[in-house]
Amino acid sequence: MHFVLVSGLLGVGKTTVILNMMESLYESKGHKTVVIENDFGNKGIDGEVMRKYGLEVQDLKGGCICCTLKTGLIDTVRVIQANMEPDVIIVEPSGIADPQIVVNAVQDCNGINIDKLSSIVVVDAERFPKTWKMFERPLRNQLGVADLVLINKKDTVDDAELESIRETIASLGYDGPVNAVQADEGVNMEHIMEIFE
Amino acid sequence: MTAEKEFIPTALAVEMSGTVDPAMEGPEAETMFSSFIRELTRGAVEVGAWSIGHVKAVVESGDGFVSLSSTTDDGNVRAKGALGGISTYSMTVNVIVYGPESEPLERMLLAKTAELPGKLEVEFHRASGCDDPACFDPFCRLDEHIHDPDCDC
Repeated sequence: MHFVLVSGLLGVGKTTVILNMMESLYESKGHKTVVIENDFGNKGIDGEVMRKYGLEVQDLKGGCICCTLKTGLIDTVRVIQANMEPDVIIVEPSGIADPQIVVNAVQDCNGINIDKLSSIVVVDAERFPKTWKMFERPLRNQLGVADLVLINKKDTVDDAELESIRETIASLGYDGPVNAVQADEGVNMEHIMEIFE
Repeated sequence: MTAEKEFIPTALAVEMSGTVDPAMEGPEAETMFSSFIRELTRGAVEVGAWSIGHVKAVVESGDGFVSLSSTTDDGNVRAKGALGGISTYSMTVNVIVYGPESEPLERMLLAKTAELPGKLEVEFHRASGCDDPACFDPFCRLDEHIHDPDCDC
């Protein structure tokens, strides 16, 4: 089973990225995929929206999976794996989660068989220049476990601004692949599928 | 993990159900709800938000639904889906912002909600979080954390 973590600060477009990924996973790969959604509230929205688009979604509500709901995440993954035998589990933590803690929890856990673990981090091109200093520590935590970084909402900035964002991401210690995308229109999203090769 | 107080967002979820008489056409309703989200985002800034996590809503009516999201106070609201004509609807709103206390945020939300047409029922889901400085989670339920006495968890 491939475990894919899609992290990013609040409002960067994680749900939109996942919706777009799921289309490709179904259409081109035929992977059976389940999404675990950690909405940041007792009455979440993202899981509900995904369900309306026909996705198989398990909710973890009422807390953050790197803190309160860490055990709940492990139990949910175990149940999904035992009952549904998916090829891929995609986890969308809340925007405040530390993905390193999620990765460690899943890797250290007995009873979950993970063949591959990938971590995608989404940043928001429109707000990144204003917010990265404010949220430097959580951002560093996210980039610290990233296999791929997506700069979403690339339509909101010009090439020079995009390059500046890339430089900042590099200055934060991340040296892996970075793709600029516009997830709501599916622009440049095809490269994400490379992590499923 | 150590969290500074300012990195703990204020989170509010609201469920609403409403009746609109006379019924509205779908595009008109979508514009109205987009405007509502836009005003909530601006309102959050007015009550002290220094950063918007997100202001999101999903509106359902009959077979149609629209999801709306705003992350900036420049008036931009992203929408997915479509509504048909509406006479009754249900809406869930999530507001997650950095800066304001939950009380002024809730007052602002109630005031903006009162501007929506028709009869509305509104239910708040509050998150006070805990006082543990190492916890980012406003919905924290861990027993070992130091809880705010007014916290629901």
